[in-house]
Amino acid sequence: MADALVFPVEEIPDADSVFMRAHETYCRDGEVMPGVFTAKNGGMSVDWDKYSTKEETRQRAKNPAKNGVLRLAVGAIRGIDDLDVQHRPLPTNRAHSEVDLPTNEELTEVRIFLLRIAEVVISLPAGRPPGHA
Amino acid sequence: MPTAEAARGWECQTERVERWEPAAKQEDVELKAEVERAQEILELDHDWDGEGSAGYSKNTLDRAVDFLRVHSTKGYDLCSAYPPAPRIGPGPNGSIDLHWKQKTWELLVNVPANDAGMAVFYGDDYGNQKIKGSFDPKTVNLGIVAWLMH
Repeated sequence: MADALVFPVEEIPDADSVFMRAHETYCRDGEVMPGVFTAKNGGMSVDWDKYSTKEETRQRAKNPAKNGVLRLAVGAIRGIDDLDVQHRPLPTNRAHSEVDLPTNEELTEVRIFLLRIAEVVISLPAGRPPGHA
Repeated sequence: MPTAEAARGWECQTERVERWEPAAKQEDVELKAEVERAQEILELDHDWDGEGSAGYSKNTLDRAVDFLRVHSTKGYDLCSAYPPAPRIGPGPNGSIDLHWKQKTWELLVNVPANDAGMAVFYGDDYGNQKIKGSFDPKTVNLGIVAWLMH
């Protein structure tokens, strides 16, 4: 049986960017809503643009057609309070990285600032109501 | 210099108001429309995005809407105008976000899924002025009312 593929952890430079999926539910009138910035299992999952294109990030969604993609500059993320971006590659995704979000009330402030630096690079679907295919 | 006699004369010229009739309060139609739209959030069950996100309870949404109605009414009482309606959206971990994005200011209020939890808010004017903190969403926060009406 072959060993699982293990990618080395690297330092992500400030000049690089990360991609992040945004589900259509977080889209209103073409704009992203702050609820998109949330941690799952510890950190907020993003893909380092060194190892992923924006389209590859979108295709990693369970339902790509319902997702857009945001780009966030790593230096800008690190400029928000104590946020950092860590490379945490997965056997199936070398680009996988995480933004460690605060778990206290600072999260509300941080989400506003993340919203301001986020750039939509694959438009979100038109924000169809939940439950609609 | 005014004298007491002059003051009494002024009193005599003042008609007694038997009953104060405030102007009929108009409905906050903008908020009503947003609240109706927000009911869609309740259709989001656990893992609705395929990424493990939590669903949303009617209780949480109702608390967020109650907060909005109370603060909207307070704004009207103080300024004879309703504050702008926010976008009501899904927040982290089953919480509800109330987001105002205006040309000169922005405010985010997060109402937690936990019934006993404190709401958290942050707002600024894209410059030096900011407002932040936490409070019981069942109470009126006059700081937030003032921010909404400024």
